[in-house]
Amino acid sequence: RWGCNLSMHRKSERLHFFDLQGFPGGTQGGAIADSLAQLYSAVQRVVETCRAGENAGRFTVMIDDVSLLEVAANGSADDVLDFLHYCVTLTSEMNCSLVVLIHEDIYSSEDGVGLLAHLRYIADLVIKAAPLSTGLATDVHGQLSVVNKGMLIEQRPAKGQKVWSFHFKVKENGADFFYPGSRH
Amino acid sequence: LSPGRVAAPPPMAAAATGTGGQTLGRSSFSRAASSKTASSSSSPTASGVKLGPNGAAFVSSGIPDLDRILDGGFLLGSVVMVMEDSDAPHHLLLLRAFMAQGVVHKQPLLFAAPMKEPRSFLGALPAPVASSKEDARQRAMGGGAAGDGRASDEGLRIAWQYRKYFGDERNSNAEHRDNKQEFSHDFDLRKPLERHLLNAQHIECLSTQDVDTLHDLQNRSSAFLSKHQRKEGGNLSAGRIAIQSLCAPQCGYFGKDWDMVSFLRSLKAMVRSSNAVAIITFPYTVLSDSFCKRWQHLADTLLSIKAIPDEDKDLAKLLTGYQDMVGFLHVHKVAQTNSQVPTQVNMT
Repeated sequence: RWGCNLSMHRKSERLHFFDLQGFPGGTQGGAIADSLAQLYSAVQRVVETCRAGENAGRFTVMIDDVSLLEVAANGSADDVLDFLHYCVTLTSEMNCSLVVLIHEDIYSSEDGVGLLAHLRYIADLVIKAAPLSTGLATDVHGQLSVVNKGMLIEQRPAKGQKVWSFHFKVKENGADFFYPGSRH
Repeated sequence: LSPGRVAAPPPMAAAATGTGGQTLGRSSFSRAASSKTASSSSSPTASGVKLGPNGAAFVSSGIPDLDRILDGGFLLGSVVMVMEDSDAPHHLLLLRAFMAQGVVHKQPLLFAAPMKEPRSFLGALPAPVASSKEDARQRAMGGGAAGDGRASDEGLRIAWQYRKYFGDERNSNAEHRDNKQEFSHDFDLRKPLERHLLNAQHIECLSTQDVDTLHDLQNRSSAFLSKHQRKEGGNLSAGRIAIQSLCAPQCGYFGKDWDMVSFLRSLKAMVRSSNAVAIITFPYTVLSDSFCKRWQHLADTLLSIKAIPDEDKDLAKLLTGYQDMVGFLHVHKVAQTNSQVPTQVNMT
């Protein structure tokens, strides 16, 4: 509906999908680190191939979602963090972007701060989507905040964070973003 | 009627099948008794599955009002999770309606519970209130005498009958009334489901009490779901999995937080590629906040139950019919397929 045929892109190798539903495949303990290492190698190979090929350009590695990856790793947040740090190295070495999805509310209690704090720290851009703080509405489905920590622009030293707030409405073929209060 | 999965055959083919009806290329309306036509119809099939937009298929929750609120019912391929109220057993009402509905539609069922004998729970499943087809026939015959001696319920049944005619466009199509079962039934909790339905049915039961690992449940679920794999254009037979109080303290694996979410994750993956619905109730207060949130995120449809205290004067003033109410059912999240627009929960 967005006018983008994923199956077609998958066939032409513009989209590489790593299905982690069966990951890590029944292994436990130390083998999880190995499985994650293998996954990283596979991702790196794909990025290198695409960088060299005709599709050289902006490449995005997207991880959906890290909370579930933690479950797949049977709770080993350290292994997941290692994997994420390796993925981060791809951004500098291979000129690609990394987008990581995480469920914030899982980490809001005392015992589970780990992954979220790390990700927040290493991220250049933090985007938070949440339901409307004021409740349900038909025209506005939620609110979005974007924090740009200023590391994306090399010349300017980070003088501080820039924060934007939007409201959004999700449609069949996309989403509308607008400033709060500008929609009736 | 929505087109649903009906692929209208080209006019040439329709003439060739000799349906005898005036309408060409619209085989779902013909009186042809060919089983191919019947199964491609978009109204509820004999297996109790309803088709919806975006390739969705639903089974009833066993509670018609809840089906309406969820805009169809429980989506096949989805996981429904119910947060229990730790002070009241009302989640069992949902489970009973779900399981009874499956039995009535002859849909295979896998039931797991932290009891010594889960099979005994089947005796508590409710019977459906007399179907509207039966009543329609009786009304046509003169109405007054209820052949099976339920004359005392006559007034009650007719009042219930009128509800069926509000906003239900399916009733206007007489052809479908003959050979199609209802998609959802009202259940009478005072009457137990007939024994013969339970014996004839494919029902598996599994106890989660005192078992210290979820491997068995996972393997049984996998075997059960492999019989309900989703196929393109295949026959829509649905399966139901009902798991009661998955994280109850009586379960031997209680406390193994990562094992439990791991099980949920794999179950969700298995259910997603199948023509089945899994409903899981869980006493969320025994989980840590963090894991409770993980469970909630794993649900496709998320409901929670809150018991209404018996003698709350403030609530009595706020709610009409307070005396008859046992609890609140909150709908937090509704499963969707092939659409990113959030469901506007139907509250009319």
